Order: sequence, then structure tokens, then C-alpha cells
Amino acid sequence: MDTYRILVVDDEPDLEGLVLQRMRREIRSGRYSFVFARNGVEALERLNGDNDIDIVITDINMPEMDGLTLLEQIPAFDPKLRCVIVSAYGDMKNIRTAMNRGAFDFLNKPIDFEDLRFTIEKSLEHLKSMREAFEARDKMLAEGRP
Amino acid sequence: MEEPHRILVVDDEPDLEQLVLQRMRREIRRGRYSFVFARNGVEALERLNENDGSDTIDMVLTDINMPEMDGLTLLKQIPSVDPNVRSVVVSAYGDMKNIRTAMNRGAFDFVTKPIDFEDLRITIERTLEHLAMLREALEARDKLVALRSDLDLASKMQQSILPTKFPESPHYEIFGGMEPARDVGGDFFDVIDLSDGRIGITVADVSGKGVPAALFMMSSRTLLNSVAVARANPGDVLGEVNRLLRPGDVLSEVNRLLQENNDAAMFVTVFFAIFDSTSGELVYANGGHNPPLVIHADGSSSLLSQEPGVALGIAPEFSYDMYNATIAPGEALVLYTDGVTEAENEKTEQFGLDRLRDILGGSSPHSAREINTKVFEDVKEFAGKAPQFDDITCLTLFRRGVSE
Repeated sequence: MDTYRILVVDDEPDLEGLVLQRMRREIRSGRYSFVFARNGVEALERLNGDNDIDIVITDINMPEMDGLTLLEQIPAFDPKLRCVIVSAYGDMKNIRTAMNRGAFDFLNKPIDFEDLRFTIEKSLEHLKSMREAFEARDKMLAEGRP
Repeated sequence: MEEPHRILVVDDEPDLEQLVLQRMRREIRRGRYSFVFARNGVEALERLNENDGSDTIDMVLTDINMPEMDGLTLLKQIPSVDPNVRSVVVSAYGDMKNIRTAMNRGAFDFVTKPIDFEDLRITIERTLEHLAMLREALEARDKLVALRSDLDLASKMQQSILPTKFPESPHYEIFGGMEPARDVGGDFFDVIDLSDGRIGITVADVSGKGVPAALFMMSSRTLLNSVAVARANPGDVLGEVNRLLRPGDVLSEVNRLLQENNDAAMFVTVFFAIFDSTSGELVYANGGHNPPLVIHADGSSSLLSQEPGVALGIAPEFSYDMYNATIAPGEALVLYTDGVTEAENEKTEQFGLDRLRDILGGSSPHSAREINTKVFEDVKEFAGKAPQFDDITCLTLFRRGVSE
């Protein structure tokens, strides 16, 4: 089975421990593996060196580079990369900005891990169908030309 | 002009219809969007059920609270009606619970009430952009499936024209096989019964791979076959086929298929011989093909002497020389393509002619099938896990001894 790599971007160090603890079953079964970054700059560095990331889950308010700026930068790395934004509960303005900048979905703080699981699975499913379709297109281009 | 993108708006409040038509009037006038309205989920599904033809709905914009069928139920139903439609939900401002439920049920996005039309425009555009990308990729996938099935069919047709039954005679035994490298290949072999104890034997290798090579191979084989039956002189056969192949309809048809490569000049190397089974006489001509191997009764081997000639399809006026040899009782003639001698192992070493002579020499031949099978088995063993780049073809003729 493939392990999906998820990059979590947040300046609060607590989140790392929480994610690892609440997602321990998925980690142990090899379904997810998590990588962490403290802000948008670190996240972009990560994406630069590691092209195996499938999903980015990012906070909005962070030093150096915030989540909304990060969102704008990500398509340059991989236009098929799915990005989920984490906002303060009910922060409609930021959520709408994030969605309009191409976020695939959003989550509220405090994180509801059931919702997170659902959102990750939905993103992965979406990612998979996009990748399949694009791989088919690439093969088509390769095979169609003798 | 491009067809407008059709958006189905589902809301029980009749006011929204006017509002949308008014605020989106510029996009409607420009022909970018067109709107269709439904009053609840049931009406919306009815509309989506007829979703084919020229007025296909691209996306659904739906309210949540509605009579008969609400927006969240509609969301769950849409994928089974049309999986390519994307939905955006309209919720009360800050109604996180419903928004999250909608998103987890597969909504592509949401907008809040009162509708911010700037936000709605961006949301619609982003949804349409996503749909366009997905459709492009899906179309490519469908084409790939079609291409694969074409290749599969071509491969089956190609295999079906290769002989699987061979003439039986008290004087000789003949056996051949071809192992294609890709779905369809360019090698072929043929055994033609010319009556009065004579057979025509051919081994050939068409340049290139894939469907064009397969088509060229079929045309070459048909031409060779028909000309061979019409004529008895092998030199003439090659001369005739060569003239027919070069300017003929065959090449233009193949070229047409090579859409981007109109100047792809295809060619085919052919060894063609007529064997007289009573006298053992072999008359042959070679169009640029690997020299066949004769395995003598004492286990030694030699190559048939000849000038290699030029592959067919290159020089229209080339005149092919004819040669004579005798296959003595107990001797075998092994015809092969470069897929045998140039098969590579994991260290990218080639199988080579010397190895072929080594594996076949040393003992007296006594069966065409046995020799042919040994060639395939040894090449396979030599190649190991290395990929097969070229078709492998081998055709063996064994002249039975007097005692048999």
C-alpha cells in the first residue's frame, strides 16, 4: 500500500504532537506519514526538496510567510498538490480568501480530527483521480507518437 | 464563439433567480454563463437526469434549506446522476456545521448569504477551470483506452497472419515462431506452398515499431506472398515487391498514419528463398537481412553465401541477385531476425551470432521444432530480466535424412 505524505504547516509546536498522537493508527498502518514545517518559507523549502508530498495542511497566521501567501506559491511546485487551510472557527473572510486562492478545502480550529480524516481522504481520492487522468494523458502523448 | 457554461441554480426563494440574472447580466450577455433554475433538490435532479446533448449543466449552485429535497441530500445524489458535475453550496453566513457537512459530501466550494457576487464569480471561474482540466485529462484517458484497444487488435491481427501450421512432408520439417517486443511488432515469417514439392520461405523485419510497423509488415507480407505465388524466380520476387513497395499506396497509407512524421521512410529487410524438397536445392535472395545459418549433419555450421543486398523500400530500381545452395539430408537452415542476435542481457551484452552458432552446433540436427525452440529458450535465458527491445523471430527448415 502507498503511504501518503502530508505536510503540516503551523508555527505552534503543540500541533505536531497532537497530530502524531491522534493519527497514530493511520501512521502505524502506513496509510499516512506526516512532515512538519513552522511557516510558509519552511514549507516551500520542504516542497523543494521532497516531491513526494501529496497534501499540504496549513495554518493561516504564521511568521515569515503566512498560509494565504503559501497557497499562492504552491501551484508553481505542483499544480496537482491539494492544499487544506486551517482557520480560526468561523473566520469567514480568511476561509473565503483561501478557497478563492485555490485551497481544496478548509478546517476549523480547534481541529476536529474526524473532519480532518474525512478531509484528507477526500483530498487523496481527488488527487488520485487527477493523477490517473494526467498519467493517462502523458502516456497517451508518449504512445500516440510512434 | 464558445458555448456558455451552464449553471443550475437551486433555491426555493424566487427572488434569487432575478438577483442572479441581474447581477450576472454582463456574463450572460457575453455568453460566458447561462443559468437554469430549479426550486428544490427533486427538480434539480430531474434537470440533471436529462444532462446530455448541447445544454449540459456544468455546475450546480444550491441552497441548503429547501422543501422536498434539501441541498445536502441533493449533494449526495449528484455523483450518481452525473459524476462530472461540480457543486457549490450556498449557506447562511457562519453556518459552519452545514458548510463542513456539505464540503465532506463532496461540494467543490461554498458561498454564504447574502451572496457576495464577486466571491461567486471567482468561485464559479475556479470551478469551471477545475472542470476544464479534469475533462481534458478524462478525454485523454478515453483516447488512451481506444489506442490501447487498437494496438491490441493490431497485435492479434498480426499474430493471426503468421503461420501456426506448417506443411508436412516426408522430405523436410519446417517450424517457426515470433515473439513480439511491444504490443505490435515489425517481424514476420511465412511459409508458402508452391506445389510440385517447392515451398517459399520468408523471414523479414520491418523498420520501426507499433501500428505503422504492423501495417507496413502486413502490406509487405501480402505483396511478397502474392508475387511469390505468381512468379517462381526469387530474384524477380524481390525486384517486383521492391518496386511495388516504394511508390505504392502502402507507403502513403502508412505515412498518413504517421501524422507528425510524414518523412518517416519505412523499410523492410527480407530473406526470401524457394526450397525444392525433392532435390534439396535452395534458391534465394536477400534484401538486407541477416545471413541465414546452415547447421551441417556433423554439427558444424556455416552462413549462406550471398551479398546482403538492400532493404526493400529504399532503392526502387535495385536489382536483387539470386543465389543457389543445397541443403543436404540431415542439414538444417536457420532463418532469424536481429531480435535474436541483438537480444541484450542485463549487462547490455548482445546474444550475438557466435553464441547462436555455439548453441546450435556440436551435434547433428534432427528436428526443426527442436532447433527453433532451443533458440527461443536460450535467448530468453540469456536476456534474463533485461527488457526485450525487438521482436524475436526464428524459422527453421530441416531436411530429413535418407533413413528417416
